[in-house]
Formats: sequence, structure tokens, C-alpha cells
Amino acid sequence: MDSIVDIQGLSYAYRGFEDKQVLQNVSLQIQSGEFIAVAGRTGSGKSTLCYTLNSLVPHSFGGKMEGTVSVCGLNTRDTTPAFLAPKVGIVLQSAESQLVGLTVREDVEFGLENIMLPREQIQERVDWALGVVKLSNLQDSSPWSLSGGQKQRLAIASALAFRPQLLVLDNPTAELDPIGKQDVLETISFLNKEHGITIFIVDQELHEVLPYAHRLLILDDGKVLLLDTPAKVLDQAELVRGAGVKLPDVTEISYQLRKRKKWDGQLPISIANSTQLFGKMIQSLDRSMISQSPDLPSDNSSTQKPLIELTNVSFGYPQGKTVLQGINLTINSGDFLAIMGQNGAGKTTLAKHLNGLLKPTQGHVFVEGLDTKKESVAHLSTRVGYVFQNPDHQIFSKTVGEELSFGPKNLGWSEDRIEQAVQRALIDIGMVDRRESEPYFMGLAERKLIAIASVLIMEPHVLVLDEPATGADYNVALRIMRYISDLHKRGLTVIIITHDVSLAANYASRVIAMRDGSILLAGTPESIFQQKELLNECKISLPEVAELSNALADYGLEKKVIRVQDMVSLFEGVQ
Amino acid sequence: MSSIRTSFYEGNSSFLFRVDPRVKLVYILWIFVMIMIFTDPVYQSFTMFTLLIATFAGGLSLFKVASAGKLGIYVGLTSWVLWTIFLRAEGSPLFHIMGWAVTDFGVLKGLSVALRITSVLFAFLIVAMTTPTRDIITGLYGLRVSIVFSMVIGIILRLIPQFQSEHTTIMEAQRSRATEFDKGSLMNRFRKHTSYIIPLTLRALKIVSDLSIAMESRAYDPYTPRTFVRELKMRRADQIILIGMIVLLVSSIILRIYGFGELKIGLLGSGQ
Repeated sequence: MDSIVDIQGLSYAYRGFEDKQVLQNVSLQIQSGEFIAVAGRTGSGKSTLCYTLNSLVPHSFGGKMEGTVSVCGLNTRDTTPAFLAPKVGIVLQSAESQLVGLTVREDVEFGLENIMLPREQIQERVDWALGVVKLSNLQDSSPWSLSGGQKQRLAIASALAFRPQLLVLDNPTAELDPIGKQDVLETISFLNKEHGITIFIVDQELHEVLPYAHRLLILDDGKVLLLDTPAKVLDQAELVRGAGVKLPDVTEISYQLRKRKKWDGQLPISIANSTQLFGKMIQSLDRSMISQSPDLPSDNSSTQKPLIELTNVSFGYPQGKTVLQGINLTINSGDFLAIMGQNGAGKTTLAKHLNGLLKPTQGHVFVEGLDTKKESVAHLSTRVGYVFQNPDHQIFSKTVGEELSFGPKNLGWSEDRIEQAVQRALIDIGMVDRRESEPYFMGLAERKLIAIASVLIMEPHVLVLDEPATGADYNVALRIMRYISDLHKRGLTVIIITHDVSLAANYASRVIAMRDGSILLAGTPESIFQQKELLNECKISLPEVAELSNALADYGLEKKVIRVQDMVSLFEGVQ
Repeated sequence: MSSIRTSFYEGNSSFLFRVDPRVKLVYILWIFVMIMIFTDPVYQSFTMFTLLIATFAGGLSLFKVASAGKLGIYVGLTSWVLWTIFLRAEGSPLFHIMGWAVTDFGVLKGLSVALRITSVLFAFLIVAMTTPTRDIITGLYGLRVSIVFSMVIGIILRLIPQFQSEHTTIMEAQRSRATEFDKGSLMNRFRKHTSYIIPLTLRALKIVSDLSIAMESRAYDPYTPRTFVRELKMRRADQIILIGMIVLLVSSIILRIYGFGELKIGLLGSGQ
């Protein structure tokens, strides 16, 4: 195979931050036709490395670059992104930020118009690209009306229409539901296998991308930490975890067992290549350990005090379609509820009913007995706190202290009470010494924690969080979820909207799965994650551990295990 | 985000929809010149009448056009009222309100200014509602307007709805923190408004930055020529409309030179 990318001694610092290198002495080669997966913590230089491949770095971002990047035989210092576009396609994390056209077709045509292709050739290439990503039937639709997965496939089509030799994808599945992710990854794999396009994809969800990857690159602090076949890289699990990358669950389980001297040999990277190994271990276990418990953990929430009740709630925007239909739901004190479902299923719309941001067009929502139709959002905010997905929609103050005190000031609290509450909140999020720091320049984890604390400070009894861990790397997500979990243990009722099945399995006490504005499934995680077909209808996949558990049924495992720790505990009994 | 509205375009197959975008853009300019030529609302009403014709030719409902331009209507009405109130030294008093004279000249002058403000806005709205954004860009380019300016117009039209969506989300995020924007003292309200102005400004910068990366990665270079998939063809109907506009414009200029269409004191015949 020929080398399509050759990077030698690449170091780079952004304009205005020349003393802080985001890439440090990176050297690597990518062969034509390879599928390279890239992972690393936030700030490790993944996106910057992507931008070097189509020469956005240094041409558009400026800054200080050392070393050479050669793509398709061209030194990127000597060429521009516009010139490289026909050879290197790039797809960014947010599909919406890439939309240029007002119809799907226009969006794909845009790039080809820029390189002055004749009209007939543009039509031909657009037809082809839309056909490859299976969007031909939607070519006259508005891109904004597409689902998350479709929007990202459109972004791929727009890059693909150039017929590039290299396709660079920067976290393209981060904002998608599980089935949407699978959809996009299968399209990318098809382009790699059938059209020989070299793929360079940043993705934090290794278990999803590794089945397609030839090599895995782990970046840490701007340096290449590991670059080899996925199996060899993941075998160095300690290093991978240390770089802020979440291991696939099967790798994590075997890694935990290796630490307990219960696992010999290489760590597995997928269910397919590990079932037999785990199966043998199951067969050596005592039958009582692997048989089905008499009862599944029951949903004991009905014995708790109801905090929020939704009775026959429907909602539709004026002159728009109905978004929620006949929702009946009770949220009890002490619940940790996960709301799941595909993009557009109505999860956020439902959540916005809980603090009165939206009022039902039919039915009622009662918060601690108060009808939300008759109450202001301000009044309800002391009962139900709502944290938005993007902390940048919320944060505006010059200091952390001011940000935290904004809500209490709106509520008319006394200066003393506000001061005490701010102190408590700062201790809670570990930022006592950063009270005067500017929140906008802090990392994602800190900004998310400030956003949560600035809602919690108003002492609500219920906290609603929209995708609390999306966009965060493993360590950041873990830090945020531990904070939320602690709050729950201290008695706070928590409701999260999430696509992350592993997160729901590990933290939630109840799960509801939505489809087309209705609740299709509700129950404990153990009961929900047994219903694969119905979950599929909601575009929700099973947690990896649940898949492994199902696969091990052939080896006699009757228990349904959905959490990594439970699976590790089970195998600890192996002699 | 799925409910986001991406342009003013209504997407029908009316007569105006089929008119060449260059002709429609010239029409906006024509409205501007025509409304500026005359100061007498009676003469200006002819220009306003063409907006009515354009609305029907575009298959648009008057209600929809009026809703889209309600801000312009408010501004126009406010301007009319202000002129009527403060231009009391000229013309004949029509009546008095609490000792304050309302003159015929004030009423007509206010109306004239209001028509000037609203006419161009409604001409733009009618064209935007019957022309896809990309055709507007192609039309501007076809009129030899620089590609940079043409694309800037297109991008602004593309970004407005996204900013509106961001604005809604940020307002909701702040309302969830007990912010009541319409309550409290003036100072307090100002403080509350910074809670959405700052995040909105920063988000707007991020959106524009992301879009520019995406466009550049798709070979967009404002200083090089490009192909336009939409081919502009001037049909006979387009030529007739253009000739009609030229004839009316020249006639209006001649009328104005001969002293017609000027707002004069006593037009309402109130006894001067």
C-alpha cells in the first residue's frame, strides 16, 4: 500500500497561544485504504490533528507549526484547504454547523460549485453521493428536518461528492442516538471497503468504531501515545485508560480480571472474539452463581412519595406536529430516572414540561401538587432544577461566584443566605479557590459542574439534566456522573436525558424509553435492557455488558447482567 | 432543532416564483427609488399597490406577509404617530388633543415616512418568500454584485433562523434559573438581559466560526469564481416586467420634475 499521509515531527500551537503546543512532535504514516480510529481525552489534540490533514492548520487558524504534513503527496504548507478539498473530505462533530444549503441537494452541490465543475458533472456526482449515503429520496427536503444520523450522513455526502482519497471525521457520531451512530459508522465502513477511501476518524466510543478499524491511535497531551492494531493497543489497557479513553466493556471486564489474576493472555476487544473465553469461565462457575435470581430487582418507586405526576399529557407546537402524546408518568422522591429514545422522540420536550418551560396542550403536569399551567417557571425553579445540555447556553458571569449567585438573586434571597449557599456550592464542586475565576475559560467538566451547581443552589427537590455527559471524555463524564450520583445518594431526585445506555444501566434506578412522543417502555434497567426488540424500535441498543450476558446464555449464564462491575464480580468466583 | 425555520421562502409554484431572481432583486431597488421620488402619499400609494399585486402574483396570503413584516408595521405606525405629534407647527390644525394640535401636514408627512419605511421591507419580504436563498445569491451574482457580498447575504439569511433557535434555548436556560425578564426595576431588567446577551453573542461567534471552517473545507474561496448550478434565463415575461418598471420609473421622474407628487400644506383641504 502507498502512504497517503506522512506526518513528520509535527508540533503546533494556536495563534495567541504560541507557548502552548497542542501537538508535540507527532510522526505517523497512514497507508492508502486504511481505517484509522483516533481517541484521547478532551484537549489531547485530536481535532487539531484532523485540521492539519486538510491544511486548515496552519492556513485558516494561523499559529506556529513545525514539522511537515504531506497528504496525497502535497505538503500542506504549500496548499490551501480549498485546493485540498477534492482530495481530503472533512466531517465535523456538529452536523448542523456544516449545513450550508437549504435543501439536501443544494448542500451537496455547494462544494462542487466552488471547484467550478460543469453543471452536468455536479448533478452526476450529487446523485452518486446521495445514493451512497442513502439520502436520494430526501434530496428536496430541508436539511434541518433530518434526524441527527441523516444530517451527519448528509455531511459525509457533501465531502464524498468531491470523490476524496481521504475522509477525515472529527467525532461524527457524538451527538447521535445509538442506532444513528451505527448507521453512520456502517456508511463510513462501506466507503472504506467498497470505494477504498482512507478513513481517519476520531471517536471516543471504541466499542462502536473498533470493529471497522485497522489501527487505533491514542493521543495524549498532543503526543502519539499508542498506534497499532486495536488488539495490541487495548492490551495496554492501563495506558489507554490513563489517556482518558473508555475501554470497551469486554476489555474493561477482562482488564479488571487480569488485575485480580483471573485473566491470562491478550485482552479481548469485542464480544465476538471474547464470548468463547468468557464462556469457558462461566462453565467453571458454581451453578448457583449463574442461575437466574428468583426475581428481577423490582421497581420500588411506587412506595415512594410522588413528586411529579403527568396525566395524559400531549403537546404540539402551534401549526406544528404533535410532539408528545398521552404521556402518563409518576416521578417519585428518590428516583434516578433515565429518559431514553432516538433523536426527535420527544425526550427534551417531555423534560421541559417538568419545570413548566412548556405547558401541555392537553392533560396536566403536577409538581408537588402544583399544576404547571398555573405556575411561573421562576416559582417552579425552586422545586425542579433544569440543567441544559450545553453549559455555554447558561454561563454568562465574569466569575464563578457571580454565576452561582444569579439564581438566588432572582429569587430575592438575602445577601447572607446567598453567601452561605455560594460557599456550600463551591465546596460541593471543589472550586472554593476558584471563586473569582472566569467560568467561560474553564474546561468542559468545570463548566458543566458550574452549570449544575448554579441550578442546584436554588435548592430544587428534583434535578433534570439534559445529556449530562455528552461531548465529554471518559474522565470528565465520570467526574460529572459521580457528582450527580452523590447528589442522588444525598436524597435528590434525578432525571437524566441520555443516549448512553451504559450510563443508564450504571446509574439509573428507572428507565423510560420513548418513541414518537410516547412512552414505549418503563421499568428498572434490568427489566428494560432485556427487551431488545422493543428497544430497537426506540433506536436504543443494549449495553455492551447486556449483549455479552445474552451471548453467554449459550454457556449456561441464566442471570441477566447489565453492569461491568456485576460481571467482574461474577467472574471473581472462577478458580 | 427540528422545528428550526431555515428561510423566509414559502416554496410555491406561483407566477412570481418563476420570475427571474434578478428581476425580483431589481424590483426591490425599484420600490426604493419610486417611494423616494414622491413625498405625497397619494402618489406613493401607486408604488404600494404594486406590492399588493406582487403578493397575489406570489400566491401569498396577505396575513402571512403582514405577520412576517409586523415589526416593520410597528415601526411604520410609531413613526407616523411621532411625526403627527411633533410636526404641529406646519399645516392646518385638524383637531386638538388636550390642547395639542394635530395638523394635516403632520398626518401626511408621517404617513409618507411610514410608507417609505414599510415599502422596502415588504418588497424584500415578498421577494424572499418567493425566492430560494440560493437563487437570491445567484441573482445578485448575475447582477454583477461581488460574489463576497452575494454570499454574505446568503449566509446572513441562513444564520438568522439558527440564531433565533439559540436565542430561544438561552432564554429557556435563564428562565429555568428563575429569571423573569419583564419584572423588576430598569437596572434589574438590564442585568437580567445580560444573562442572555452574553451567551448569545459567544454562541453566535462559535456558530459563525464553525460554519466558516465547514465552508472552507468544502473549497469555498470568496476570491475565486464558482459555478452556479441554477442557470438564470430571462424569459419574455421577465423582460416585460423590467420594461414596465423602467417606463413607470421614467414617467415618475418626469412627473416629479413637473411638480407632481410633492407633499404640500393644505392637501387635506382643511381650510388654508
